[in-house]
Amino acid sequence: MPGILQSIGVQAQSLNAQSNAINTTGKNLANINNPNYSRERVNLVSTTDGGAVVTSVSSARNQILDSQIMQQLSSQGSLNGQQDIATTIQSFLGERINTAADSSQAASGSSANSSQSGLSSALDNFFNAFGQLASDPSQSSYKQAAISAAQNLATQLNSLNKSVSQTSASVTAQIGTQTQQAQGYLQTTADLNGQIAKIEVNAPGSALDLRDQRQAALEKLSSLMNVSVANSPEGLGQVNVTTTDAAGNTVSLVNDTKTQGALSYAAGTFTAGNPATPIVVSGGSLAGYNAASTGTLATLSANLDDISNQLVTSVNAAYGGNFFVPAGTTSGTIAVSNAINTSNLKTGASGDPGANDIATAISNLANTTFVTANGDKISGTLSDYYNSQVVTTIGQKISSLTSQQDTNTLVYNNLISQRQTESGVSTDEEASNLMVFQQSYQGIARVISVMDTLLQTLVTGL
Amino acid sequence: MRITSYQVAQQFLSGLNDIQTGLMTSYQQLSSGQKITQSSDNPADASVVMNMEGNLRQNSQYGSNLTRATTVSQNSYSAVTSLKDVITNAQNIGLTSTDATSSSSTKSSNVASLNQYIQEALDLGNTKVNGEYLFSGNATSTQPFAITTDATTGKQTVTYNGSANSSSIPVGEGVSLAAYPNSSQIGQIRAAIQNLINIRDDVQSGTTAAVQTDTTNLGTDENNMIDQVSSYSAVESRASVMQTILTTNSNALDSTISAKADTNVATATVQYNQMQTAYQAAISAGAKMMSSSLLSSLPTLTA
Repeated sequence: MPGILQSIGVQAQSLNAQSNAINTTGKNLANINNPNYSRERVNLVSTTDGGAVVTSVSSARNQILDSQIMQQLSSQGSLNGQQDIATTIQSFLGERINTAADSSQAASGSSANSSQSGLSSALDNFFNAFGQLASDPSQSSYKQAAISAAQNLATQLNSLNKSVSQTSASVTAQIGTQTQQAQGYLQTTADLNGQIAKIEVNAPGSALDLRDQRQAALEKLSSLMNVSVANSPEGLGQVNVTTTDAAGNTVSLVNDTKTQGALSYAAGTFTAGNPATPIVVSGGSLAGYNAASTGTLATLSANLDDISNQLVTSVNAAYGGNFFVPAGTTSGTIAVSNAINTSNLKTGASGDPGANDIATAISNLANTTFVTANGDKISGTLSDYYNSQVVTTIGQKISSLTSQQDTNTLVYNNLISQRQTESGVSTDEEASNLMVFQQSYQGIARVISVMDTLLQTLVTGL
Repeated sequence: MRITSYQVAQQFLSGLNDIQTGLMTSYQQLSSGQKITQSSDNPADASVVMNMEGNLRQNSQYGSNLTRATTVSQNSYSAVTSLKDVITNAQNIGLTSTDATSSSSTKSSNVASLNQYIQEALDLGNTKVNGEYLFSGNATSTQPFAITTDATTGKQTVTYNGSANSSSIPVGEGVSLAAYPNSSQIGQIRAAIQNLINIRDDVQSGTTAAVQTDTTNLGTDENNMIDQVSSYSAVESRASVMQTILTTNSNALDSTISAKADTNVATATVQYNQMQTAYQAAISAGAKMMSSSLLSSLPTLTA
């Protein structure tokens, strides 16, 4: 049986254990709003001499949930990247539906030029201006209106081309920035691997805060690009980060404490690893921006070029000369010939001021159905092609991405909720623990006090 | 199930965000009066609306062209009606000039009147509307009719300097209206003026048989002018019918656009109120849930 002095020592040790538990509760409460933090618990063990000691502090982290959350973050990042660009495209297309203007137009029934914005309106205004000119080909003001409508149409196409180019450039810059960020997170992961290994070499599973920090870095990396994370065969709490190339072969990005080469991006291709290998980035905002750059924006640019080419070819053929500059068959180069003015604008082949066959032919192009199989650049009428292939395609993309984002957010929120259920800090639970540890501490202190009294009684009784 | 403080806050914010999104959507629909303002709001309906907007714009243009066609027809109608009256008056002079016993003063008076009618007919043939000659076909800047005098015989002839072609005005998809006078109608006007010159010359020379022939010819001219008046009326009538069809079509398009793109105010108002109630309930419940915790009881325990 231990003596009083030994018992006081044992209880002091137990007091220390409770104090550690209270400290851990305090740490949990301090990190209650830290989404990357995983709640910690002290593991108390009773000692053979009647006390209690803290053997370890563990955290409630679930690797499966962490992995699923990283996958969701990659999906979300990709959707967000694509959504950003699609929304930007919709904005600069400027196709706004204004039913009040439509009603006004239906009521007046005599407006040659609609005030609505966008290429759709510019196309209609161009053909309608020639329709108006056909009704009175000698009218100089109508000729001016037709030339202005054509110049406005060309300017609209030039402006859209500029917007596409600027957006492409900013997407490329954004991909460059995010590629550097991703490389930074890979470096952070490698550095944290090293620090964790140093701590855990003697106490496996003890570098809890560093593991939390590493998981936060990996999740930020996942929102930029999809990666696979696996425990290192070397152990010591380290993880390896990998991705794949086009053939599905694994490409190492982080191996224990070292990053493998540098992540880079050029001309739509990501390369990584050592030696540098082209990799497939199918998730994260980098994938989203790359898909938007090489897909949506490239298609939009091609569609606008096709519209411009068809317009220039058809109008010049109907005009029987160079109404548009013949070489300007792209959206960036389309332009009305400088030589065209109200004095020399042809309205009819005969050259008579009242002849309207050319003006009518150009006006009729609004309803001409083009067929690519016949060598045309587009299928359908110019307006239909633009509305369906450009505006509606972008609208459907945004709508579909929004729907996917909603689903993705729901899944992500559920996973986060699940992780919070396991790893998050509960105020009530910590308050309860605090009371328990406080009472334990008070109880042990009372035992020490009693032993002290016993010791005093013994000493004064001598 | 274990519920953590961060989880409660996140769920609260997520729910609040959903409600605010709904509130904003309802508010935007109510304030703009539209449930579709851009393609992404409803791609399928937006595409239909955009195509219809294009049709509306085209209808507006066709409407303007119909107005122009009506104006041209009305002016042609007016000029030809006046010309018919001139011909009728000249015919009457012709009928009274067949009497061989007419005095020289009567004859002079008749010739003077016929000269006036010739000038009047020439002016009507050279009618200009908005600076364009109405009866010169496509050569709208060229004066169509002129009277030339043969230097040897002194005989006057009406010449036509306009174009043999005239344009039709496009007033619908693949539909055009021949509102401008055609070459046949213009030829009839030239013939009428020439017949006025002929009757004047024959009255002056006192050739009774020739005057009778001229009078008969003017009768034919009068009938031609009546036919032309009917023709221009028919164009006006057709333009009016087409205008009505266009207006009906535009109104139908506008109604369909409105049905697809405009806000159903009653539905949007109910949704807005529902969202507002849900928002207030969420705030109230969230504030109460997040403010209470076991921690607030700790000071009592330590006391």
